[in-house]
Amino acid sequence: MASHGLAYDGCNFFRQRLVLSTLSGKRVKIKNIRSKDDDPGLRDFEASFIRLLDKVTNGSRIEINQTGTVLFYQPGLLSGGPVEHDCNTQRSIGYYLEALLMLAPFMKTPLRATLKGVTNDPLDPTVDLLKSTALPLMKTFGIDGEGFDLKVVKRGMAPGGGGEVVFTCPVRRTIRPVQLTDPGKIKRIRGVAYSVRVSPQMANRLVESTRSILNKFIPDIYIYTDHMKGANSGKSPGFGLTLVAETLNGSFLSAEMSSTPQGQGGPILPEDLGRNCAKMLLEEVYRGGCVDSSNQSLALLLMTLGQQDVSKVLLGPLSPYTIEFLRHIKDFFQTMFKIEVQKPSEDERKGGDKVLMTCVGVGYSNINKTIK
Amino acid sequence: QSASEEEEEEEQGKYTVFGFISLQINFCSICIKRLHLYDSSLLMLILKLGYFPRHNHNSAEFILLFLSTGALKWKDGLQQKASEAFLRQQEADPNLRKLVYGPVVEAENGAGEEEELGGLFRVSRPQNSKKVQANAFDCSRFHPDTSHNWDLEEMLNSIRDCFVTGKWEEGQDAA
Repeated sequence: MASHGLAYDGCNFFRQRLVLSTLSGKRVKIKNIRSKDDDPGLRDFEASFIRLLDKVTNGSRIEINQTGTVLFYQPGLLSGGPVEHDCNTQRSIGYYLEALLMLAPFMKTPLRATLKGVTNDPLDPTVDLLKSTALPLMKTFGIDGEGFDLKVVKRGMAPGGGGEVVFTCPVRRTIRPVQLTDPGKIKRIRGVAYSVRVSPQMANRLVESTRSILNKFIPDIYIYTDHMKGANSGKSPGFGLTLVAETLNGSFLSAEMSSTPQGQGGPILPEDLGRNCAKMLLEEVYRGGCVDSSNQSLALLLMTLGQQDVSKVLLGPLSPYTIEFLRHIKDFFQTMFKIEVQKPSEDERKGGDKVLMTCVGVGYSNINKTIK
Repeated sequence: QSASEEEEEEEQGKYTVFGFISLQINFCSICIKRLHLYDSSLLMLILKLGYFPRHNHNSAEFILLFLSTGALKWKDGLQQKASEAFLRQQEADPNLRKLVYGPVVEAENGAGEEEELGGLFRVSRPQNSKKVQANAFDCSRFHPDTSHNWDLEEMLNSIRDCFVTGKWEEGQDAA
């Protein structure tokens, strides 16, 4: 019993634990969830996440005690298929989608998830960011083909939401090992400047101020302006920017910023937001690596679940979230990574230290997928 | 020079020392704080020639200590300074594997020592350091390093070669 279950304390890294539990088949118990808080137990968005997990799996057992401070999860099989879910608006769809991206390739039938809620907020990676960075990353691991898409049907800003995205993903039996050790030079910068329920001019002002900074480095910049109207514009006003730098070897570094949600803090000028977002992209370029900081854990998971061969990925500095993810991978899959620091040489102007992550895949195969 | 004036100048990042050395200095806030602790009566400068990211000054760090009278004191205690620089370098370059997979070091002060009121009641502190960590906000965002000022030309230069417009290595060609 003890060898099959894992126990954790507290609600932090909630999604990591449940996702890894589902993939490894190990049951997990999370105790003391905000037990000393004035408002103890699971929040609505966490409950919503559990319901989503329940929809994509078959036969999961979830037990929560009366106060919501203890959660027991026994994973079932990943079934997939068409799934519709109203994501709680406390967190954006990115929060739910990050976990779904990790699970989707290992379903029984291809997943077609319709997620409704907040598409863009300042806290979590937005759907635009995941669309332009996580999907190309997964393609390098052999998850591609028809029906691999993330589509923003309606945009809904925080706090009201009212957005809708459709995520479709094919299933794979095995994951291809990768060798991503050289990111290559950045050849172009793309982006999306979106605005809903505000003047369409906002997006143009964002683009202008962003270009003023990024043009110092590279002329090939194109930022799409996306202004959704009417029924597709959700319930709250707002605007924001997602920037993606694409390198010659096909890796993507990204940065993004959204306006402060209505009724939460002071307003922000589109010019300031554009400039700050451009600086955040420069920071991301400084960190560097083949995978940007918000997708580090996705890359490490796919490396772990690859065929029994060596995978190498060069990353920027590890984020605290990724470090905890590595510890969790060790708990659930007994895989430890070789972590080497690569210092750039003196005459190179390529930003900060990089980290080379090496591991041997566990040879995970999708037991849920039906053999035809 | 009064202390407040010095501080103002630090913020600007510009120093004119005795009128004949005028340099644009990119200050490392961490080092300045550390040096001020040694002796606040000295005007201390860290002249970093070029740019050295992440407080990694081992290769070229020039610490010039000027007495308020103007005498050059940088030769004093060179050995001690060298050993301190070495230790600082050791700290700055940790074993990542140990950091990630080693035993989790968490500040557990306050976990067992709950205050007693009149020897009968215990004061239950709602949040101690460990619990904050365990129940923190679950988010994958990696917030940028605030010490990087992307308005400075040095910072911009530090990533020039990441772009196709930068310098290319030998054996590689832009075509």
